[in-house]
Amino acid sequence: MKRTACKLFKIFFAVFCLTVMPWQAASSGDRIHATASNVPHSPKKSAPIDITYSLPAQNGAGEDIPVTVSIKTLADTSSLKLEITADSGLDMSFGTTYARDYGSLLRNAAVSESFTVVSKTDGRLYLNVFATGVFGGRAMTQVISIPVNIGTATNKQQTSDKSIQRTDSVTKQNIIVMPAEEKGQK
Amino acid sequence: MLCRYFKLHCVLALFVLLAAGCGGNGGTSGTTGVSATISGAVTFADVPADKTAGLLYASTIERPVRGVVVEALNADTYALLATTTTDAAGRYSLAILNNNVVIIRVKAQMLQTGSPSWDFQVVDNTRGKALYAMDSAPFDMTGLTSVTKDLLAPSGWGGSSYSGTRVAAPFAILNTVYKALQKIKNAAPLVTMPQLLINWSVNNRPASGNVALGEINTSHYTSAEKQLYILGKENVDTDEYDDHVIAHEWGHYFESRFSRSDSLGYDHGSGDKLDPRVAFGEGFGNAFSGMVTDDIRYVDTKGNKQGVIGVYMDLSNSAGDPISVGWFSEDSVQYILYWLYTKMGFQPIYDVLVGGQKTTDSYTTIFSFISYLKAGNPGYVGQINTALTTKSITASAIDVWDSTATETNNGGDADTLPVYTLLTKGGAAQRVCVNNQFGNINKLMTRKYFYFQAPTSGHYTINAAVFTAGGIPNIILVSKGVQVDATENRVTGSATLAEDLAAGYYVGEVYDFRYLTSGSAATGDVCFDITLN
Repeated sequence: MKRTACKLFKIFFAVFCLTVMPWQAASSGDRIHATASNVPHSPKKSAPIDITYSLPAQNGAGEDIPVTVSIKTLADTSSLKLEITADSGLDMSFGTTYARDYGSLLRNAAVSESFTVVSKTDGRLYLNVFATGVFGGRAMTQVISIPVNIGTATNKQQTSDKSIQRTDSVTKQNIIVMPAEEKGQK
Repeated sequence: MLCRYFKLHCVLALFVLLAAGCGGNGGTSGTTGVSATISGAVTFADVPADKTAGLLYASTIERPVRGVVVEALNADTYALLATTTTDAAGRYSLAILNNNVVIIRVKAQMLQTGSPSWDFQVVDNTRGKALYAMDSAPFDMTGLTSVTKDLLAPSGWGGSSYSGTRVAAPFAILNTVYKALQKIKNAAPLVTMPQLLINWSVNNRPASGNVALGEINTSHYTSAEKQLYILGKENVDTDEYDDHVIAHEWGHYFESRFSRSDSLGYDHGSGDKLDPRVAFGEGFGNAFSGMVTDDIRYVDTKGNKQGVIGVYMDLSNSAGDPISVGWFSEDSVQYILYWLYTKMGFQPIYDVLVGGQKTTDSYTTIFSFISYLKAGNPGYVGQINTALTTKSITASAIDVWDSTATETNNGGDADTLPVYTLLTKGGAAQRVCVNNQFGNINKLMTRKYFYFQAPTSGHYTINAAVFTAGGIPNIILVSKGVQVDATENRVTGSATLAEDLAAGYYVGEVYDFRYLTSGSAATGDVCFDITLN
């Protein structure tokens, strides 16, 4: 009985997250109200593919975390391929990499994939979603990373392994010192 | 006079003594040094981007690191002994006293004070905006009067992944910035450029969230911070070697700080029919990337081993994007601007950007740009018209408003035209309709534009009344790129702006709030009746 209640809660929670948490679902940009004097970011050009996702904002280590990735084509495509990879430490229900070929799709076609991920340790880990379409004979790829929060710890940022952070003796600015390769002294 | 001469010598002697003394603590030989020179070349490992294979690590070549700050530091105290910048061949020369153990530090900073001036720095947004630099190993100058120290910033590529420090990345970014700077300097030799921080990190990935964690969404220019953010996450998306992406984003910096951009920003992709302000800004960025690199191949790499193509464009291809052709297409704008660059050079384009386009009464679109380009270059009108016609944009009687309504390309929706609706004080209501058939937020038809001339200073009222039931009208009023006022309606009803205005031209837009949200379920034409009183 307890288990069923727990299961029901999980399902309710997943549905809640999928429908009520727009900030987690809007990957291509949050809701904005742009005006002439409030110019937002000017991003680089992207493939005509919109990728969105939904998942619970907070999760526990060892829990199955439900994730849904949705893809919408913004132009007719003769081929749409999806690939999902995960950071080390984040295990997807369908293995280390997931790939699927949807074939040709018309503009505004939508497809989605639902799966679970699990992490044994706390942290902020990422799923990487690559969607490649062929538009007018030209292949273009859109990619997003989906942050998955497990526990309260934030992820340890990768640093350039041989770099050292220090204060510049003259400008007092923080600097990251990396090793130069000296010619003839490899 | 003699006293003055003596004083000067005393000061110089004291300076030399102090400089020699600064070495101390084992960093110097303990004796007074003699003048010595350290010189060399600074290079970085450049990885070419191929339009089908992505980054070609096997074809990595060394390129000079140009125009960056180089310092000679005492190895123990990190006291600055001398500083210079690398020249156009990446060479440097520093004069120091030879009683020092020295480190040569190359900063990821292009700096020049005076006139012209600039300060471009590559910093790490995930490490407190720390400036990237690379150091030589310490070396003892004792007894030497001349040392050559050639330094290379390696890519860190280990054959199948990045196995070493990615030292080259910040310098690769600056290599493109250097090219962009030369392009601007050639047009404006005494240019003063505001400082620009370029945020790059190995953690920068295409996620929305906290930029301090590297979640920068994508490579972009942010006009709020006036900074660039560049992707660097291996096997996901890196842009440091994607020269055109760097130049495109630097172009946004240039447009924002030297010209004027009324662009709404936000996502834009192949096939999009865009708000014409967005189309111009992004089309300019793409064209500028070709002007800076003098390379028509815009390549954006990403994916596993950076071997996947995100976007590839031939900037000289007149066929370009067949889905979106016209004044609302970034592809059309980029083709026109790049093609005109090959015919006219950069100077006329620069002159319009910092001239008419900056002060135009209208929004910054291809109409305003071309109007001023034609006015300043009557000898090129024929070629300008050819470029416009190639991309289905009106070539006759064009002005910043297309006030004679010669534009006939409606992009597939008759309601897109006229581009601007003229309002007259006390005149009849003008019906305009918006929809989101091309997408929300920054796409064509989410807004309709109007303009009017206030003949005298006074009180003016602009009203947008709902014609289509359920519409949520809003108005933005702008004067020369600066917002005068805006409504913020979230429910259906009229939108009204009542303003005391100086005489002059004003431009504005009417939109339905629901079409400015990314997940809006609303669709279909929504019409409003606009009046000016």
